[in-house]
Amino acid sequence: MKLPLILQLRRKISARRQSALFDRHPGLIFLAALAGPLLAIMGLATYRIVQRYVAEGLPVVPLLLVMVAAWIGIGLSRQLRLNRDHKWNSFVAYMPVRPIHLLAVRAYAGIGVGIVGTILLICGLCGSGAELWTTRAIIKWLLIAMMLVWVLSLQAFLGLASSRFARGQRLLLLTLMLWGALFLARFAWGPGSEGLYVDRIADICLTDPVLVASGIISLVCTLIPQHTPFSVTGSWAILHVALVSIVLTGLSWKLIQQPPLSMPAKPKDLFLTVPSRNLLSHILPGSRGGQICVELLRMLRGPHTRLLFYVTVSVVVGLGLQIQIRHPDGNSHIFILAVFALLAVNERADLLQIRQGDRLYHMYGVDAKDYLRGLTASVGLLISVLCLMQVPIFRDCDIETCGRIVCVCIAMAFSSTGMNVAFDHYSRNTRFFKYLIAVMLFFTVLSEAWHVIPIVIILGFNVIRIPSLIYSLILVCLSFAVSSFLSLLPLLIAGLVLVSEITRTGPETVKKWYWRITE
Amino acid sequence: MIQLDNIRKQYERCVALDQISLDLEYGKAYGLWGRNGAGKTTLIRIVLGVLSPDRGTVRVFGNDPKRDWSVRREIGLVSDEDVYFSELTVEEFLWWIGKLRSTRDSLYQEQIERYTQAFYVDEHRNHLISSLSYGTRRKVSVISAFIGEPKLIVMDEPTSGLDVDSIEALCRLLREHRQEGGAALIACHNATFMKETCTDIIEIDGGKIVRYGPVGTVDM
Repeated sequence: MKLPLILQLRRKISARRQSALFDRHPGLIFLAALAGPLLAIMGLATYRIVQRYVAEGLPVVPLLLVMVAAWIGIGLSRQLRLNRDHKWNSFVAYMPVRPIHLLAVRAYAGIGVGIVGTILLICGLCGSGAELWTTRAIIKWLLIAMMLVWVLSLQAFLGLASSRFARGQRLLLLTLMLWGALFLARFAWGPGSEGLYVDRIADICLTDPVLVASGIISLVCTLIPQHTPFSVTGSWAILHVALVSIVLTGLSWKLIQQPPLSMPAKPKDLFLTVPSRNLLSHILPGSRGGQICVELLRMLRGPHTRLLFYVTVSVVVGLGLQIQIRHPDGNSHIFILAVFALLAVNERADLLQIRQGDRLYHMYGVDAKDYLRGLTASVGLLISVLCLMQVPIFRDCDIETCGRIVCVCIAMAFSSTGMNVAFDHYSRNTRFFKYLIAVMLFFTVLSEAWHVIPIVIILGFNVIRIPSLIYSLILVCLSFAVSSFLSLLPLLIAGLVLVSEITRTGPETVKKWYWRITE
Repeated sequence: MIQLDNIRKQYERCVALDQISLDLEYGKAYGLWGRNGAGKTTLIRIVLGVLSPDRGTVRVFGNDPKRDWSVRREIGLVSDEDVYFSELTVEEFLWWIGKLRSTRDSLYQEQIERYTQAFYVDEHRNHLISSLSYGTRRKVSVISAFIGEPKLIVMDEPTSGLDVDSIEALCRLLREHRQEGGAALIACHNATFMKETCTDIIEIDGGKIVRYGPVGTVDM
């Protein structure tokens, strides 16, 4: 199939830009080369885990909604990157390009994430691949195909809405916040039940008008056991999702004919108004308060999609741990899913990248040279945000599980910050990345292989006819404990990198480096 | 060829264009003359369909340039901003321009030879645009406007960054383009260049046309 010219051009430019990036940061070549097999292993593990998760009858609704939210969010970040490509937007505005081909470019921007999401999440949840050529299987395959179209059209629409309307991005965020507030209000004032909070959230989601209209609830209904036959719910879901996709594509078609707004290549700083600043200085007095204020602003301003992603992953992890209360024999390897997703998108150091941070510090009267305090404030805020999002889950958990969730949040904040710091600092050092990825790959493979060892030993015992029940049980328990530990080990390594970074860097180096990254 | 009827464009509180009515013909080169902020670039963007007027109608080759994308196939543009990709080589960039304007391969090869030689860029054909000097990049931008031999050439500050030889080459090419029945709309602050290339001058001030006539009749 011959691709439209403009799409071919986009692919060529993307390839050249990637090549230039590799030239500037040779470490990325190893990262990209080794990330492939690493992601393949983790992707396969995720696929299997999701299928097992559904097969064991664990709650599907919250997991699916969170995954779809992450799926759309990651794709949307790519659309926003396209919006900020000033040269590209100027070029296509002046050149003879069919609007349909511009829509194809939008779809292309999200197709990688779309396909990965489809294979890992939706295929895993729907259980497709297990059966072929039955009516049920055909409906499932159609549903999966429509889901891909749906997510691409939704991402394109959101990306275009934010690039064609003045203040579109803020409007989008405000709409999301309003929707979130309404959701919380329904949660707070809705009829109480004796069930778990996660179940209450799921119930509210199932009747949420926005989610129902979007078509995602129709998909959810196909995964919940119901009185209605699957063929009926499945067909209805296909029709619903197709209709929503058509409407979104139609709206995107209208939007694409509008010229794009000229957007700055980098997001602007978020400044507070004078009354808000005065209020904050009363609440958070002194230099420390100002620093927290600046870090909070930076966190909310720049990589809001990345922050959303960290929150999503932490919620998935929290849900995974919480689910264990109800199903002690359930699968605890939901962690791998979170870690996989974290690695899949952690392609750039965004969270700590300080754009014009010096101006912000100057404006709020904070000593910008105190790098360590800024860094700890940033990590502390990230931990607070992640823990805050777990409050509904905490309500259902005992103190031990709460402690474990908090530990995961802390590990996530430290490891992501560690990775970002390491990336910024060592991006020209290929050796560091080689070692880091090799270690991570080694432990990931080991954690996967650990599952197989007891099975091999059990088989071995059976072959030589030695009663081995007790040994087998011990080995199985041990293997699960060790594999869980090994799955988390890469995160811990990244955390250690951060700690070593902080402890070994002297004040002068810190000052110099700090000002380098503020440029 | 281009019909503008009672065009008005306002940016927040600033009126950029008001009561602009023009009828531009084939075989002529129109010069937009005026001070900075007079509304020249806004007028060009409206003609290209990149901006919508708040009031009035625009017709380019009988179509609305904002709704009919194919109109831009017949328009060659030299913009005041960088509309090229520094990741491509000169030849690659011009090849894509030719392809997007549906130029035949044989014709394209002939054109690229001709224009790169005219602007002394032939030795840089295989160089990345990012490695070129500002002036050479501007030359590439000017060449891209001629690729595919569009009927209308629109230029916003085309002489900026060009050396004397290249300005002369540009004058010559614009004259040839006009003689072959094409039209041009040029916004520039270089009076000598305007006198040499344009047949008519449209002077804009404060968003309104203050003078319009053959090149000799309007003071510059």
